[in-house]
Amino acid sequence: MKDDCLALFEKMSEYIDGELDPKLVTFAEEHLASCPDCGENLELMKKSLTIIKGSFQEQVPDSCQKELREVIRKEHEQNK
Amino acid sequence: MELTSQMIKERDMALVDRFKGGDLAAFEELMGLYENQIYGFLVKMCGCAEGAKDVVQNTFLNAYRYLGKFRGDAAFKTWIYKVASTSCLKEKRKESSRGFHISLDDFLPKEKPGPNHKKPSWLRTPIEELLNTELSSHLKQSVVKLPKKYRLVLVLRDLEGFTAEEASEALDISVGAVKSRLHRARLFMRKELVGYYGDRSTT
Repeated sequence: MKDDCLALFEKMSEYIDGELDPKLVTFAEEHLASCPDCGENLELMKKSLTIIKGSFQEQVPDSCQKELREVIRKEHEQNK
Repeated sequence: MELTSQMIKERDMALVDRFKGGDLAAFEELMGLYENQIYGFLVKMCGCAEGAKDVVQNTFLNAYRYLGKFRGDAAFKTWIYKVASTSCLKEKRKESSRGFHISLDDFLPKEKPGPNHKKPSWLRTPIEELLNTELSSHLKQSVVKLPKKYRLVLVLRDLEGFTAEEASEALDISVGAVKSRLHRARLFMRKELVGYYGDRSTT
């Protein structure tokens, strides 16, 4: 792996999140324009993230509100 | 009207102050505001609802015990996630991956793709067609395989929507550590996905 590819590989998440130092953003964009392998690597990471986020978007199972309140009330009584 | 983060912080702080004055109802109100969020976070962390129930109970019990010391420097939301994260780290049960370190080297592409290299077909498939129950269950198991220090960062940032700064406050680690762990966790998850689709042309 070339040094520039390696440098981008290490900073890929920060680049995706828009948290990369602006000077490095210029480097990343110039490199991506000329390196199809890194382009595919980035595309794979972005798609993976979309799939991961999408897979966890579901209703949480029934909560444990009642038990939770009982535990806290008991603790409160003991502390009085 | 949607509440701004400042309005939420002030609303929560007013409840904390009432609680400090001995008002249990104020604590119950705070629980009502955050229990589903925290429960959802812990279900993702534990990989199952049953395991999450124990941790959610410890979280709010510890919150009850230590809320008196909360000064409001950070938002209550960050603080309660911090209590939940700590409870999660203390939960030893079912943790088989302790001590497992994720190195970037494990994910470096091994060789340059040849001239006949084709992009993985799922890159071109619309997201709606990719998401299904089996994939979702595979990914939930994959998240649980991650050592907790990486898992916490991935869940907070990518699934709970925390910024790097918020995750750094909730986990008591530097912003740099948050970013570094997040990248490794994402690479791990990406590898799991590539494995799922059985296409190993790219790691």
